[in-house]
Amino acid sequence: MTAVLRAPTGSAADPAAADPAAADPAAADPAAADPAAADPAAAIRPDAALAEATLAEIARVGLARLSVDAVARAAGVSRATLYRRCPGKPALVGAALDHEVARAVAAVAVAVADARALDDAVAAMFLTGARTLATSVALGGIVAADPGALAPYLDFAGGDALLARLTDGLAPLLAPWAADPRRAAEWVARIGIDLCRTPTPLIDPTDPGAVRRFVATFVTPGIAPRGSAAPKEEGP
Amino acid sequence: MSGPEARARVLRGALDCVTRQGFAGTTVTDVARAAGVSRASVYRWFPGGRDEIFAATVAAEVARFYGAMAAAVADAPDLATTVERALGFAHRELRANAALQALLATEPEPLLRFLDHEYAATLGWVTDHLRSVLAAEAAAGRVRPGVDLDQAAGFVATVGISVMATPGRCDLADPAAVATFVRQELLAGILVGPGA
Repeated sequence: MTAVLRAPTGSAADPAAADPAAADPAAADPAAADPAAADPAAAIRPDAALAEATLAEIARVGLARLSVDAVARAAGVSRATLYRRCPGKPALVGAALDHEVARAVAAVAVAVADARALDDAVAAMFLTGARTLATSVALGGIVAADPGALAPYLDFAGGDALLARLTDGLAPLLAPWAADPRRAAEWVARIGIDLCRTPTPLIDPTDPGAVRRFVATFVTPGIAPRGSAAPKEEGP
Repeated sequence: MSGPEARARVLRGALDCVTRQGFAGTTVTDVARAAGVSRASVYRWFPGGRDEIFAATVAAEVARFYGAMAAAVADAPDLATTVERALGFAHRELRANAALQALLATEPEPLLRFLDHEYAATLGWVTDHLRSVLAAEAAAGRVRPGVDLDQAAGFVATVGISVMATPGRCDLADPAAVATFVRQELLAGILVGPGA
């Protein structure tokens, strides 16, 4: 999962500006009509200063030794304020991960802006995710020191929350191609998280050719293209 | 009582204790009492004490879960049915598992860490099982040309396990929703033919 959690430095472009769905009237489906979904980052933007202070602190001391007080000091807020916004360490770490998801979605929005087909867009999503993993000091440190520490954010309730956030971010980016963007987004988000998580890698996620073959073989056949009849499924 | 039998009793005792009291509220003495053995015998089998007992308890439960799942899918006629039955089984079993539900509610962090330790092994079992089912599909000419069977088995295992723990919008209680997910998304690129 960690591969999709951080944008490369310097790519903090406005995702809405690079979002092909934003300028596409046909993207006005129920998902895109939701104002939060129209701007992928807006749907998932937590308190940025706190999140960045938390990530910096994780990078410095690791997740196990993360201190809520140290984060409050670094963010320049009182302990009481911090607890009001993020009650406890799991909430703080969850908010920091949400922040990284938002940054990843912003980077992916830039990466898919030039895509000319669904295969291109999905491959760009995976490649951008994998590239950004290497640049996340905080998450890279957790994964190197103690990958099990992320399990509460990846499985069961935590996993559903992460999947929902990533789905919210990716759905508008898939609207130009997919008959049911939310369904397609959850499918792509799930596979992206799984690819980064599995101990037996299915592909080299930094190899564009391998990623494209993987996407064309296993991923996009599961997405009904726009203009086709969307497979019958209950709404969100 | 044979050694393995004593060990199994300790694990059953530990499962009862953590279901009732959680990890934090369970001591080696509690486990020994619940298992009807001495503390010394508990330490003989688990010199690492509580953490080692808990890790082994979770590992045994995971092994039991996947053993029962293998039995539940053993006579499935094809890959799609195998995966559908496995997901339905997982949904029922996980929801009915008292220890899992109690610990997810009270102490998710240690539980998920112990489960994470078992992830590589379980992924291996599921992949091996799916590889044999896929080989039969390939022999029957139902696998799309160019699909690498090992990669396909790994893909279906990885995504299938993730759906069990994190179903997202797929309602695993609804066989029709499971069939839609399995046939139109999960296996769409692997099997020949519309609707897999």
